[in-house]
Amino acid sequence: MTVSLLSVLRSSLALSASLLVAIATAHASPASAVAPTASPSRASATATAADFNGTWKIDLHRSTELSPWKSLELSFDIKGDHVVLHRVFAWGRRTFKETLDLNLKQEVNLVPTPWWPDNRHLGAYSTGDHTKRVRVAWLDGGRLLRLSSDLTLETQQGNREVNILSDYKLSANGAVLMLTELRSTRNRPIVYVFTRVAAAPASAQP
Amino acid sequence: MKLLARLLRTAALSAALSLVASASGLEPRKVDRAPAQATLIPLSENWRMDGDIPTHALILSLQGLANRESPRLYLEYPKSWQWEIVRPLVGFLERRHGMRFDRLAENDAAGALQRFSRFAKGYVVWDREVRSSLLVAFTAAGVLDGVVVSEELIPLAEKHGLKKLEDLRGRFRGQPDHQIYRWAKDAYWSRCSRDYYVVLGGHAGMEMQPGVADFAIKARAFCADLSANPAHPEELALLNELLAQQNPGSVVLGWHSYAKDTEGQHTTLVGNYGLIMEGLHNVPNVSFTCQIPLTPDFTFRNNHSVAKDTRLKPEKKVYVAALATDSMGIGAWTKPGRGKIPYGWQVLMNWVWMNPPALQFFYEDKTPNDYFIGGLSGPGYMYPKSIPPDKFPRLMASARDLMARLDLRVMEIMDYSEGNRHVGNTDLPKEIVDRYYHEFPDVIGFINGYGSARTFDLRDTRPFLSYEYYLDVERPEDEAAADVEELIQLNPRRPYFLLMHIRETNTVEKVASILGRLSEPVEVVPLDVFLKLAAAEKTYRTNYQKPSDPVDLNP
Repeated sequence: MTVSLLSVLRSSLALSASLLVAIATAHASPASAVAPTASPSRASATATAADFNGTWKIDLHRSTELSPWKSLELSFDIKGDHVVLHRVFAWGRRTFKETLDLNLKQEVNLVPTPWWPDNRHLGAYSTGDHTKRVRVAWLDGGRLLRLSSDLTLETQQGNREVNILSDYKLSANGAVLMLTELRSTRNRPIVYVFTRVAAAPASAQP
Repeated sequence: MKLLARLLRTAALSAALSLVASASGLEPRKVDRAPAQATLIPLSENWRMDGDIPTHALILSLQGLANRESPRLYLEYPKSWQWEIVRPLVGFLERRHGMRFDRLAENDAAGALQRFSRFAKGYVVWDREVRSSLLVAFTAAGVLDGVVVSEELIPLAEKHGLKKLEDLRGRFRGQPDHQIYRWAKDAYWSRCSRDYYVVLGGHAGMEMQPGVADFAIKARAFCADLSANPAHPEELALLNELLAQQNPGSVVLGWHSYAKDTEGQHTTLVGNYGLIMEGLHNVPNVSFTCQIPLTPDFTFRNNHSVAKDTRLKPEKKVYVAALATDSMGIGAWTKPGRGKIPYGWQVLMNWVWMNPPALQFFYEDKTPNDYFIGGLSGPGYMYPKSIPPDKFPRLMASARDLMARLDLRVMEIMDYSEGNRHVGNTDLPKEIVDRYYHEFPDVIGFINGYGSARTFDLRDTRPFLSYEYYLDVERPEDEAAADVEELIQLNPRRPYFLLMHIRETNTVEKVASILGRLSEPVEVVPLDVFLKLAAAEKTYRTNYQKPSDPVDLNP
């Protein structure tokens, strides 16, 4: 599975070597490895983890095609074991905002999922109790934040359990954030590249 | 008693006839046969207010007047024009109707006036400082039988013997649109058509593409780009006033302003009055084509792959059907690959009277793999959830009539009144699904959605299916193939019925290539076969819009 996945990647995507390494790293780590008891690096990662804080905007040219959305913005607010991640999808005036409030001390975080915005081209919808179960961990000395999300999607034939492995990895200089997602039902990885949105100068703030 | 029974029968017959005639009552008169000769003027690429719009507006208004009683003037829009059909149609009219076009130079307003100024009683001056004054000028031109000129074109009009009928210069400066159109209503509304209201919206700002203004002038329609957005309460109030006064089942022709409101907001409001939306603002030459009859040797024949009462037995496999619905005139009809795979095309049904030669062109140009369906939700573009229940039967009677004329057996439905392909929902509650089954007993099935949706049903042998996949124009083939494969994984039962909606300019070649990349076998079948297979083995769950589904009113 891993070999064929990388083969597909090499032949069909013009991804950088660092990206391939990132994907291989993500794929080699089973989701179970992010259980709290199996993640010794979590407690020591806060120094680098703080570099996630702030707002990140997708670089469409370096990312997997995002349609039907035209932009995606992430905001991290990380304090100790508490990670708050905001995702804002937008297409003109149409937007979808989602907040993931995650506690690293909890084995599983229940996150409200009223809507599944990830791929609106597909006939697949958030359903059931409209929550996803998210396991979260720091890896690689705090440069990699891994989320393993289990959710149920409704399709024309009924409900289907899906796992999404989301790796948020910071570049060494902290300027680029790369999100690699592996969805259990999808044959290709999704790679989104983000750059940091500079904080507005103090005089420009209301 | 017998007399009473006879009277009741007569009344019932008369009521039935009036329903059937509701669509045809709007139809402009056709000439007995296409004229042997007509004038053709090419138009330039520049549609800017500070560019060629003044000249285009003059020519468009003259076209409406010249074509009022007979088709005389055809405009050849630039190659980049959204309605690519405008050029192939010239060849079709020459070939099938024996027409000859006398071609003038590009933007030749003087040449046009030389030939056709006799159809104008004068001119109406618009104010180049006020964009909306041009739309008011189109309204005035239709009512007063004038051509539309900007200040610098007055000498040209007067050179051809035309006198001033209305002068809008300076009248609207500094005024908001609701005030401008209120003035226009006070001045001209009572003399405007109750069958057509024309929305010359779409492109905004410095760009204007009022391609359908010729028909507005021919029909003496009121023209505006009033907003249906609650953020513009004065414009919305005026728009409500206008729509409420139009005839039942009449037509709103054109398109909403991209700068003011959304397609969802505008079409929802039009539906609230039981009116028929028919796009777009830039559809060309309607004053000409609406008068051209079908050739005597032609009748509409669809490519039915199965008889209406056929029963098929599906295999344990994935069945795919692909469908394009953004109008054949602006889509992939002339692009590479058509005929390569079975493909469905939603017909703009009102073109049977608005643009008969274009529909004849499509029907005669179809390959064995092209299959036509009806839409969109009724006789035109409308959202069923927005239509008052008491207005629904009359509209759907018109749709049945159009479908019969066009040999169509599938009705496609779209509803953006509570969402779109990004947010909210595009599904139908059971009560609306019930209405469609009741109103269309002769169809072989229904299609719902635009983006993906999840309204599914099967009653007797007529499935009601929603799109499973939306192929975005921007979507690369490898990602699209991954999308389709993901759907196949998400739906493990076989047969699996995967209906694809293909957006606008995606080519058939691209779709065939995407399907060719799949690592799992699928069978691409014609839409009527697809529906018959889906009728035979229901692996999809019955589902309607639920009260808990998200609603987004398209802000």
